[in-house]
Amino acid sequence: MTKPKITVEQVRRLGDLAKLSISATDEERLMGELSSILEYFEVVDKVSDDTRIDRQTEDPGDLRPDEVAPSSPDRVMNGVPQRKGNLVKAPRVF
Amino acid sequence: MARLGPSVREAVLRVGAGELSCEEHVASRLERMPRMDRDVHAFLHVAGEQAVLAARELDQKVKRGEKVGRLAGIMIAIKDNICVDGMPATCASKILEGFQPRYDATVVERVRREGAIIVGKTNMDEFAMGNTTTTGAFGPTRNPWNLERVAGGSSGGSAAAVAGGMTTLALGTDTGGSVRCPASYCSIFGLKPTYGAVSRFGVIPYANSLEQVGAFARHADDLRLLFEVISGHDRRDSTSARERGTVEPPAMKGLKVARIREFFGEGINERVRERVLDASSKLEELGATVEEVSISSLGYALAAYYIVAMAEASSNLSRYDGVRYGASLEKGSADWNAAFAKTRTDCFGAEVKRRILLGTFVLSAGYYEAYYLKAQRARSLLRSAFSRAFKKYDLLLGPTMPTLPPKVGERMTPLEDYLADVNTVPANLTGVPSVSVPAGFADGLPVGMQLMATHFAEETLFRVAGAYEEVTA
Repeated sequence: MTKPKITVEQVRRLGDLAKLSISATDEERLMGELSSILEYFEVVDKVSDDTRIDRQTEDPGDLRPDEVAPSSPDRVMNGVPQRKGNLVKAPRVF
Repeated sequence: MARLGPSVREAVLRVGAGELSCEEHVASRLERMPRMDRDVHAFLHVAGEQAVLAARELDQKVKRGEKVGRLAGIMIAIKDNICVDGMPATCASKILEGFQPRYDATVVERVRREGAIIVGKTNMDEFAMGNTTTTGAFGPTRNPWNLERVAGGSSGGSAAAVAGGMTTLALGTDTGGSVRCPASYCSIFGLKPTYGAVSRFGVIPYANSLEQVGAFARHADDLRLLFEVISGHDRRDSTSARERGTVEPPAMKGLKVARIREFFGEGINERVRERVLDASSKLEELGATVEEVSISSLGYALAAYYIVAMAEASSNLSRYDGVRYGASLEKGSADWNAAFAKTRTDCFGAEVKRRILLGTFVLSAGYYEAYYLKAQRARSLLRSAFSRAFKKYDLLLGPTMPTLPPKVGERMTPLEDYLADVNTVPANLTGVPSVSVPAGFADGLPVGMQLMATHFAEETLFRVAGAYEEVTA
């Protein structure tokens, strides 16, 4: 199977998806770096599609029950960069 | 070496007997720390006051005749991606600058409960992505054995703090070798436990299906003790394994060891190979049978590891939006996406961005099957190969790192840098426990021998590491 080399347009699109702004010079550099890494990754292409993917961990069994417990808003809100009382201040969505 | 004596168990007995003042001991070591850490830069945050206070409380407990814990008075450093209540947790990233979690990770809770004294938070590669501890936002950690060299990574601060005598024990995390690599480069013991043996609650995630909290110590038995304290089921981590009975580990005499051919393959430094082969002969002298074995599916390990790790990283790191915690650069911005991108672009380092972009790529429509699913199949192949190998052998052996520690600032392409992880990632992909054991020096630089055992057979690792330490230290 041939996989397309990553293009500048793809790098830009990835930046949009990942919420990272990429400058024009970085686009070129990343295109080269990402391409050589992806080329190395292609070794996994040799693994047969018949190989079953098994569970990586044992079944955790019963999940713990939901329990209501008191919490202190100050502790929870402690790391919020911008707040208004006990509300998180965020940029506008619309 | 620490003034507290050669082994943690002995030191704890002396503390419990009131033979020494913990407060004086901790205060005097903390006083020397800035001088010792000036060139190494192992710590991002030293919790001097809290440490002295904890030591004073412990002294009072001893005076009252109360029983002390298994780590009473022992200084421990914590990697900066593990949450400690009231201390910063930056993951060596600008995006978490100023963030202070208000709770303890389970592992922190457990070492505190046993009387350990937390001395501070240690440097790392940004978000644990690296093997040099030079990619963080707050400067590199240097190797205490040779300041021109890296300490290894990503838990390089923890390893350097132990090797440099600034703390007795340390905790790190190991996603693809991040405990074993710096342990090897700094000539100390480092353990990556079985996946699920230690709770990850309170650990800031990078790649959940691969990472475990690991331990650093100068002696194999100290490593065992620290593992005993931090391991065990935790209902707050759904991947934490249920308690299980211990299996009697095999005796040194007749121990079956597989020396893995691929671990000595292309790209290995000749001097490293010699040292590890010497170490392997030492195990034979101790009664083990060592055979050379090939595991061909190891050829997929590095690529499979990076695909899975980057995929998980791209998803995990999407939480950093500059809104809920950490840095926020676009105050009062009118646009959600612009504010998001501004903070992430300016606050993430180059390696983190590279991994997020690649992770996004391998998960995207049209590429998911070709990369991510193939990597998962390769992972399953390797798991089956390992489980077959462990039916026949008690341990798998190889060099922890294929090369000697590189110089700080040595230029490498990202791919060259990733290749150094080739021997450590298989344990994370398969979930088995693995230890790096100091195996002497080559050209004046430390070499580590890696041993892997089957799932939950940590005790086999401690026994063999301990027996080897006894005849070589």
